[in-house]
Amino acid sequence: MNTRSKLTNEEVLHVANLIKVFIDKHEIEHYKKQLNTVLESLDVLDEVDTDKVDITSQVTNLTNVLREDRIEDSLSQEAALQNTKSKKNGYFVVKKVITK
Amino acid sequence: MDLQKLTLKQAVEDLKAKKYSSKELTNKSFENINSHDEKLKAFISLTKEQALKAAEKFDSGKTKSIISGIPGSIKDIYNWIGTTTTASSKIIKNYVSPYSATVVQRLVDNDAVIIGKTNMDAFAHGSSTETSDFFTSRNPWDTDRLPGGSSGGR
Repeated sequence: MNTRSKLTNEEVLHVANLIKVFIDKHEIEHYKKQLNTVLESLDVLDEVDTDKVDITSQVTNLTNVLREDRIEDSLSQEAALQNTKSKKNGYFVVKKVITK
Repeated sequence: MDLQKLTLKQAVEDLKAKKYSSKELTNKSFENINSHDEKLKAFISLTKEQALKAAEKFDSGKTKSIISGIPGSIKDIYNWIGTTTTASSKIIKNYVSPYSATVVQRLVDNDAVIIGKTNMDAFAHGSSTETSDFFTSRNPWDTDRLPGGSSGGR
C-alpha cells in the first residue's frame, strides 16, 4: 500500500521557495523526478506489516526515578550560613576578588 | 552474641524472636567499637544518641520498616542533619550538616539504627583509604592490610 503520493508541480515550487532556490518553469519536471525518487526510497518501509505493532517511543522500559519537579522549602539563610566563621548581615564574607 | 559471627539474616531473625533487643544489639555494636576501633579506625564520628533512640523505637514495636532495628553505619560523605559530615577532609572537618541527603532521610524515616559516620579516602577520591586526611582504616580480617576504598571505614 503506497501512501506516499508523488509531488505535484505546485509542491515542487513550494519546496523551492522554502529553501530559497530559484527554479525555472522548465526545471520543475526535472526536480520533481528527483524529489519523487527520494520519496520512493521510503517505500521499502511498506514491506513490513505493522498493523499489530504497538507504537514504540522507547525500547529500554526505563522509568523516571527522580522526584516530582515541585518547589519545596530550601535551606533557611541561617542554616546556609551556619558553618562559616565569616558572615555579616546574612552574607558570607569572602576575600576581595576585584582590587580595582 | 558474637558480632563477628552474626549474620544480618540471623540478627533479623533473632530480633523477631526477641532473643535480644535492638538496644542490646546496638549497645554491643558500640562496645565493639570501643574495643576495636582504636586499631581499625573505621569511624570518624559516632551517633550514639540517634542510634539508641531508633533502637528503642524498634523495641517498642513502633517501627514498620524491614530495615529498622539493625545497626548500620553511613559513609561520612552523606549529609545527615545535625551530624558532622567531613568526607574525611580537613577542609570541612567541622562541617555540621544543615540538611540530610535524600538516601539518609529515607533511612531515618524508616527508623534505621545508624551508629556512626565512617572513614574514606578524602572526598572519596581513592581506592585504599590511605588518603583520608585523618587516618587510614585497617582491614578487620588482617589489620596489617588495607580495607580498600574509597569507603574503607565501611
